[in-house]
Amino acid sequence: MTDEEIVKLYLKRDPSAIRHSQNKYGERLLRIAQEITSDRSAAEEIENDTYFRAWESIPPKEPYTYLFTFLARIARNLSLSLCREQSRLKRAAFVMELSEEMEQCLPAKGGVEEEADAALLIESINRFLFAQTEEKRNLFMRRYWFLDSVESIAKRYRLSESKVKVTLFRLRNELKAYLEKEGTNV
Amino acid sequence: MNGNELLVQFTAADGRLILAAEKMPQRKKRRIALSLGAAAAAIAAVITIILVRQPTAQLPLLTISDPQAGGMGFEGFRVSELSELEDGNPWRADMNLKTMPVFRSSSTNPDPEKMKRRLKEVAESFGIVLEDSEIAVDFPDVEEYRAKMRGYGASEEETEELITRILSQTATVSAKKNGFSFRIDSAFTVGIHFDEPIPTPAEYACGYNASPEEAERLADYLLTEYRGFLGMKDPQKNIYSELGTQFYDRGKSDAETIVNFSLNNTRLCTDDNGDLFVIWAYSNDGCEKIGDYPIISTAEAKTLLVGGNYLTSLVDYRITGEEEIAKTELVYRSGIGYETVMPFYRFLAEVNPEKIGQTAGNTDGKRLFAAFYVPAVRSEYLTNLPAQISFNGSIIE
Repeated sequence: MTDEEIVKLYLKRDPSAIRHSQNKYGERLLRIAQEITSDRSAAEEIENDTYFRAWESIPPKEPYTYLFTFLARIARNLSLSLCREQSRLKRAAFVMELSEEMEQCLPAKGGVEEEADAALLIESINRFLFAQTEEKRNLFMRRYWFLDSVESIAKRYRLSESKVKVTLFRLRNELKAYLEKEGTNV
Repeated sequence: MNGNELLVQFTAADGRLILAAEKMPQRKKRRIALSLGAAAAAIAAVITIILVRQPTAQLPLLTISDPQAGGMGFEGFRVSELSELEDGNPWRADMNLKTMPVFRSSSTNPDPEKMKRRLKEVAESFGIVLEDSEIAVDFPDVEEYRAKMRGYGASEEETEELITRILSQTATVSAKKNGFSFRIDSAFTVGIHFDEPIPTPAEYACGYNASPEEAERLADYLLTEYRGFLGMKDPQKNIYSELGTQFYDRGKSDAETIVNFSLNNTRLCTDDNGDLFVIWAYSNDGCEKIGDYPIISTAEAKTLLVGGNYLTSLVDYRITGEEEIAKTELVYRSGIGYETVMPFYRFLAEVNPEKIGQTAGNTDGKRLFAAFYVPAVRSEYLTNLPAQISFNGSIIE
């Protein structure tokens, strides 16, 4: 079933939209949630919540051509929230570590990030990433969107952990410089 | 915003980035072992190519890089009619150009003293004399970065690559005086901002939706008023520039004119009242000419385009036939981060919005065109012309 057909089911308030979403994307959504939370049962709960959140969001959203990323974003947000709310989860400390790394990407205080709308900031980061090589883009996304460990990224792309760390460090610095520069031009 | 909030907000990253990173990386294909006969034939073919076309010994080989994909997602144009794609480029297919100059950019190795001199020069054209004490030189602390990279166990090559990028992206020289703000970046682009927009007389002023006739009148006024500042012998005006009204000097040759259009030009930007609020002065003064390189014809470039030899900011999009080309022109790609400034054929091709995740709603019912760049320099002078090129030289699988 195409994304368009599934979205139309949501719009018609046909409950089979959820079943079709699960059939098509369930495994991928579960994987995203499990990688972030490192907890199978929490991930299953998140997967189910994702469909209900989607049910509440469509309409007014109409993700005809981007249903998977729409659902993936919901799953990611739910996963992050769970990690923060339930510090018992093993990944809670890891999420904190990643937050600290992301902090390094932000321009110095008093710069544009205090005034910029979050959406504009993300657009800037998108532009920065699209200017990188495919490998660097994917490393950044696997670390800060999918919340992978360095070890996991290294295995996935057949790189040394040292190379992954250095690349991510460099990207964070370059992103910070890029955001500072965009800020001074505004 | 703090790091935790950014981590959460990053959920909204571009969907294409998410999808690309979610895919398991493909393993590189194994080389197929050639039989002796096939190997001999391949070697003979290579030797033939070498004998037929040898690059001139004194011209160094060039490497293509694409440090800035730029734009919001991709370099595209939404237009109702093809005429809206006009950008005033003086290049014409019948110019019969055989060679074009290639430059080594200042951007990756900015010289603060050169930048200061250029800034002072620009300020003087407005009658403003800048003292050294009034100029701020803002260069990153490269030793600090070197120390950090050493701490991470990075190689010297990785460290120097980082330093080059950081310098290119952040090194600036600036000054503020008498209501003017001057700022020059590593690519030698000078921005001149005014505390208050400079009014344009009502009979010439026009807004963003001006007719071509109104835009021409404004351009003529600006040329008269700022001729001294422009300092051009035979200034050409371009009312189709995306950024303000552009002026460039006609050169002694077609090649020089095209270089000036792309690299040595000034854009006077007026607001919706027609008042001047910023000037951008582009220059390749900071560059060093490497040489005049033989270039391919438009027909050869089109063949390379259809063969997949191009740079584009679209992800996973292939041009499959020349009939998709709406416009062809010769341009230079330059700016922050470029080590080498060289000519490209830029092709604008109409894209199907749905193929790139957009709907008719996103495009307002307009036609969508994307830019595809094929290196104009002959391939025997290039170190990298892979089979398929996407962002920044990575291979499309």
